[in-house]
Amino acid sequence: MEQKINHQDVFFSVEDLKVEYTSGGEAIHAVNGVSFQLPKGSTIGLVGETGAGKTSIAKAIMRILPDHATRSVEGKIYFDGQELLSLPENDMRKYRGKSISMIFQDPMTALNPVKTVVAQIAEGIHLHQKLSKHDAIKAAIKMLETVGISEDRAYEYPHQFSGGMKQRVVIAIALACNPQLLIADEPTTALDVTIQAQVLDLMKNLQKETGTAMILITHDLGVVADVCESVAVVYAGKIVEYGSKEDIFDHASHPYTIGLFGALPDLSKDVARLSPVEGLPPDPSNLPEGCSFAPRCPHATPECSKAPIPMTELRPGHQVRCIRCKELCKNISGERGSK
Amino acid sequence: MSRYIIKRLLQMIPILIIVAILIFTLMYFVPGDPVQIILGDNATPEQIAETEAQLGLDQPYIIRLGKYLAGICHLDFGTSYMKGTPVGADLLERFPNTLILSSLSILFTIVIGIPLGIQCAMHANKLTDKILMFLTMLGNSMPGFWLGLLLVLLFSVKLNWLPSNGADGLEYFILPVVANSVGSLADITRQTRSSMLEVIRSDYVVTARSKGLPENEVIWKHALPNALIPIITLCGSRFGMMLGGTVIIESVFTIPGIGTYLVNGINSRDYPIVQGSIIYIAFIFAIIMLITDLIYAYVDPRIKAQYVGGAAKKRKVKVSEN
Repeated sequence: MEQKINHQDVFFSVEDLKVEYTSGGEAIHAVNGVSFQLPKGSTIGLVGETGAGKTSIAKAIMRILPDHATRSVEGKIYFDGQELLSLPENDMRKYRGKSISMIFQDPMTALNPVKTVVAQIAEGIHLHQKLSKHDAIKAAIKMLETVGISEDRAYEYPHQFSGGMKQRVVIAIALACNPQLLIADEPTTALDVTIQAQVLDLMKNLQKETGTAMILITHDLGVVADVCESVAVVYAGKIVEYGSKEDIFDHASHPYTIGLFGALPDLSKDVARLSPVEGLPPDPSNLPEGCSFAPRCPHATPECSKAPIPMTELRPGHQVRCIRCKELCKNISGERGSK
Repeated sequence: MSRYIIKRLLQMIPILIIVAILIFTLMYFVPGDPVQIILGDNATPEQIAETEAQLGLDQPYIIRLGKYLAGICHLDFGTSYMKGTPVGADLLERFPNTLILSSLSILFTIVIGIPLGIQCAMHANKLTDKILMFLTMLGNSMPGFWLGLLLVLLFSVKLNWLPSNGADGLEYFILPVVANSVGSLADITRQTRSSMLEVIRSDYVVTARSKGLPENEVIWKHALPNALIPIITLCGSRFGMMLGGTVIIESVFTIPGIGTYLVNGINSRDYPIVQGSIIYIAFIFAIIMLITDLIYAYVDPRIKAQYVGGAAKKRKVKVSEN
């Protein structure tokens, strides 16, 4: 009972989410017990490399994982006190696109090529806000103007738009019904750098205006620094470090997070080569017993590979999934001090 | 767009002329003598010469070809050697039967086949899909005339519900349409299944779902329009073939259509009938292909942009040349 009250306090929370795919009879563990919370109107960044399970988390929240490949989805997702995973499909549909919506990774393929952009936006408005078709189109045109596309282009088809404009349309679709939670899945990855900045600014402004909470999925640490209040670093379907933006950026404690920051080029120094995180992420159909980062970790001990690693709370709100984080932390701050 | 249509219609003229020349030449070389067939084995040489002169068969190839082409330009396709009736009028008289049979068949095919294909795609590799795929295999491998005969046995002979032959009303077409459609129905179901499967997993279908649309709308409004192009292609070519006459179905149900007309013409070396029918088939096919292309443009704005864009580009080139 206590727990339930807790969920109603927190606007949005994910608890011990597990997603398993199946491929050729083999189980693929895409998400392995992810938990995080999100207060109303704030932004969390899910950071990790390709294949870490970030998009699977997003699709599990929306419940739009591909039927044919998904073996099981377990855990709890609370939105405004309502558990989503156990809802019947018909009830879930009332949340989708209305209270929770999603911006997709690739604007080139996310829009229906045979429908006008205005129709694709109006559809959701017509469905959720019970407006007439005509009024929905009007609202959709307004929405397009909000994202910076003029009315005279509203009746064009996606192929007549550039990549950046398509992403604006995708954003307009996601924001059409003023969602309380927006999931942005690498919204800027498919765009070039100048357009990235424009789209990010646009999203930030719209978020400020509407007070929408946001889950931002990205592998771009710069974007995280720009937009997010809290950060979860995802590795092999698990959160390995979780905390406020300051915790992660100024006191990165998990060897993987440290590696990620180490891989960023430092403009103040003249270095010939970047220093990547050595090795490859583990095979999700055959995850290591203990810490999934251990095979790549420069600080790994035999102890690391024995049992699943629990989250350790370093500071209030800053959690790290590493058994050596405390000693490593000291070493690192020691190193920093010596510099 | 109208520019494009006019261009395509004009392109049909040389195609039809080439078809006319080809079929005329082919018939010229085909062994077998129509005069022999008309007069029988006991004809005297004088009789043969007289009939040849009557039909104009004594003249050299090039003159006969010239006369034939000149006739076509006036929409005169010659007269049948056997019956003495004008081929053009015969074709027009038989065309409605073939048109009704083909239109109803293609309609039946589309109305049943596309929903079945969608069901298969939505339940891919599950029981429904497997049963339906087995049935389509059966439908594909079952000869239409055999099914036609079975249908006649059951519904006409045993149950006496439907007429077994003739073309005197719509009820006469029910059995032929079913027999005629089974093959295309199976094909359309398979085609719909496979092109829906390609589309159903694409990102924009996920987008549609993420808007909270009911699954029905996702499938019919978002997925299907994107899967239609290959389905339309198949329907178009199937419809064209049906309009060209379905000899076997027409024979089984004794429907006086184009197919039996053509086959009888071939058997009796009735050159004007064969030539006229082939030109008609070529014409019908060209028209159906044009309609198919226009439906593409209607379904997919990207294809429409190509048609319109092609003309616009040419205009630009001309301007720059000037």
